[in-house]
Amino acid sequence: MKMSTVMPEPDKRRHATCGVSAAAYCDYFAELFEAIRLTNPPENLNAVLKFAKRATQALGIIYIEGAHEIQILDPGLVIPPSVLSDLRSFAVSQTNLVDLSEEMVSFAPSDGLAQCALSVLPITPQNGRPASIVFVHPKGQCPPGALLKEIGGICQISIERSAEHVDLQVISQSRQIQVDFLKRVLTVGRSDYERTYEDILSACELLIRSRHAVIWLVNQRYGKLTLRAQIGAQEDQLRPVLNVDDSLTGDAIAANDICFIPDLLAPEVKDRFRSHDKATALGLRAMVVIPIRKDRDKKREEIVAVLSIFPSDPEFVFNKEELEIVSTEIGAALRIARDYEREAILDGLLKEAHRSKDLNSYLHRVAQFIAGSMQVEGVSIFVWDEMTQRLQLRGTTGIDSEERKSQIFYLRGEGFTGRVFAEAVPLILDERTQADKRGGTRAKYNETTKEKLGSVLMIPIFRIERADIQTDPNQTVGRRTSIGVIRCANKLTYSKQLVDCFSDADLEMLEYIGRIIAPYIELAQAEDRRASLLSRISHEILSPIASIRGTADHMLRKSTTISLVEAMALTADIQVHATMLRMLCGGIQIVNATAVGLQTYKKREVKLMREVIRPVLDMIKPIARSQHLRFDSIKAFGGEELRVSSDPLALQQIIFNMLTNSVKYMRKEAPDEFWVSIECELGDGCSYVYVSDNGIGIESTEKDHVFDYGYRGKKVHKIDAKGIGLGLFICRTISEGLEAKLDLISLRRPTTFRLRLPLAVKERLR
Amino acid sequence: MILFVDDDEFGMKPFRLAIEDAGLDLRFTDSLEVALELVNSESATIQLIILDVLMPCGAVFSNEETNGGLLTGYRLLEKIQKRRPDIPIIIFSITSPSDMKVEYASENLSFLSKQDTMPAELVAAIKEKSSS
Repeated sequence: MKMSTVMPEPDKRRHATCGVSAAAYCDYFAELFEAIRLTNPPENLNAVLKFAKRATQALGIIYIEGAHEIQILDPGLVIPPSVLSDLRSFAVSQTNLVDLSEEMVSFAPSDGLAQCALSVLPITPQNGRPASIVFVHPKGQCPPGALLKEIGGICQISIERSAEHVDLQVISQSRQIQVDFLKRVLTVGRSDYERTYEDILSACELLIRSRHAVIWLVNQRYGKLTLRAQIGAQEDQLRPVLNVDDSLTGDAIAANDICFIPDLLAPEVKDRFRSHDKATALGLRAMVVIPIRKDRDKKREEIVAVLSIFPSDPEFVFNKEELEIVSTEIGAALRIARDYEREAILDGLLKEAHRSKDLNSYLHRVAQFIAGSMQVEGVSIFVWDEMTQRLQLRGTTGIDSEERKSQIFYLRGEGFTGRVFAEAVPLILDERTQADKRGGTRAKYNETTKEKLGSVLMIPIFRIERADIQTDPNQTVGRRTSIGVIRCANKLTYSKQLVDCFSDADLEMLEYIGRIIAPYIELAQAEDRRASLLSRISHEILSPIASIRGTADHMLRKSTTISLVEAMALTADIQVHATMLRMLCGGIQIVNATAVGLQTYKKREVKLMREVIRPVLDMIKPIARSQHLRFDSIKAFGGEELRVSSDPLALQQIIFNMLTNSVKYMRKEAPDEFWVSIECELGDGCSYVYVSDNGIGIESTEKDHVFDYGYRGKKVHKIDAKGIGLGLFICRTISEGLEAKLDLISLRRPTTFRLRLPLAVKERLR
Repeated sequence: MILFVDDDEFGMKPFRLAIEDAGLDLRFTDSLEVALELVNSESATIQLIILDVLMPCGAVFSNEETNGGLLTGYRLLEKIQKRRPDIPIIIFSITSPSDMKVEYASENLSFLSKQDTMPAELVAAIKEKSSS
């Protein structure tokens, strides 16, 4: 068949013969667009073609897509297959509108088509296959080319939309639901972190329509599953805690994979399915169990939760690959939700801090906050009290105790609470009674929950870690020091049968809360310490002042009768008090100046014995006499010629403090046996001063604290209530400033401190 | 006899001297145990007791009972008043009762602050209290 490819000019086409007015065209198009807007994309093309047929008053329309697909819009139109085949071959090679009106006789001589004319309109949608629309119309009534082109344009858009839809359809079948699921999962906990788990279950509904769905939290430590949220069943129908080892849900953890149980009532699984009655009541048949991991690492230890979904569709088809997304993405969602939760907790605790008038009321609110956030019934917060050296209860909630709060405390290392503080490690125990038994210490105080004692979680609260860059410039993390303990007694679950144990997630959350409240505790401790210190300092200053005033008054009143010996003795007493005051104030001054970076030392060559030791002995001997010590109880040895590089007055302060400490803590029952020795010797490139005494000694447990600010040993309280606990702290502060080193080298009999001093240049040369 | 209980024997020297110079029979001790023993054994001869507050708890009390020694004088006071509620007592201390947040009200009890009291004033107070 020979076909013409002559393209007539559109404007020369026979408009008049179309019989359709311009207004009607507009109406058609308006109708057409509306139809496209309303109809589904796959049907758009059909709608367009139908309207095109009406608009052009065509006898029929043939739609050819690519080289194969042919759609004849008008079943009444009989087109022989051979003609269609030719037409298709012809149409696909066209790029412009072709009018075949004149050729139809030769094109299809044997059929009625000979009385028709054809217009071939190629269209090339951008995202679809090239196609052609063939308009079949009576001879002499060819629609105008502009109209055909308009229609062609609309068809093109329609095809493009259809093609898009085809892609989306493909996605929707395999991906779109997952995309929706992901979008949903990414928002969990955003508006209300407490609804995180409910949000997760709702998101999972997009993937698997369920009759019932549950999310369990996994406690790897104790092999338990705790129900966290559910949809589709009443609470009392559920067992709230399961053991991983003997439950069907737990099998997914053991398998570390998604599991599908097609028939929950099948004999092989019936015994392991704990909620058998529920399944029967709710008509649950199948169950999908999906482990949720902390991160994408597919380790069993990383499983933090498990989803049990009971599909509602009896024809549910299990596709593990499609559900993998749940396992990985919900873990990520939980991490994000945890951040929301932490943000909310931080916000809540900051608000509480603003609303609380002091540390006690703040910690009480914090305890309530923890109880609300972590579903813990009994919460107690203990804070270390430097002055009384005990871990004092400061904030509680949900507890029942007959003792007054102020009477509830632990000593360092006493019971589990004291041990958590002393050892600075968290502790989780599943049974309170066991805890007492194992601890070997009778519980002083229990958080009694409404039901009975449950499991216990304790964490130490750490002081802010400050790197000691003076000792080590590269140090980034400082020593961890406990300043308190948060103790939780877990709420028992409503089953009243099983104890809900604390998990590592609870521990992590509590540690986070501990980090938030630590600065407030530190601040309050510092404030308490400052107030207490000021009180003690004022006491330490006022006591000798009272004595000086009293002595002076006594001397004045007896001025006419007082003997010279008595007057000299009383004057010496005043001198002792004045010396004590001078050294006390000097030490405090150095500590304060060092704290604000203003302390300077005037270092020079110092003759150790002549300029430091002897002047201090002169000061200390009257003090020793006032304590009824023998005149020779304090002795100095060696080092007559030793010269060190130091500040003599600052060194005097160190030696004076150490000697007064020795005198203060002698064994009162044997003053005649008491002795103190100061021994100086030349060391390897340095000079050593040893201060030893046979006083009450220092406990081994206290050796790490004797230089601490405000520290006073336990034994000290028994024999001396006064003092401010700054003596050795001042010594350590000054020695660091003088590039010297002060150590405790023997605890008792004798108690010996060693001061290492840099030698003067001449001494080194010598 | 005047019983003076204070752990700072040296610091209290001018007060002791003034009391002795006034011809009063003074028994000074820095030991809680001795003080309680005297209250028991020489109850009849004790006319008045002078008590410091901030003292070591010794073997009589626990550190907790006295809050690290801050309340030792008051704890001792309670013990003494149980045995001899009629003995006049002067709390002679740097810290005032309000500092310690304690409330003790008794006809036999009075407070003098060390820093504001001269030895002669203490003697006068002793005489007044013991005579009444």
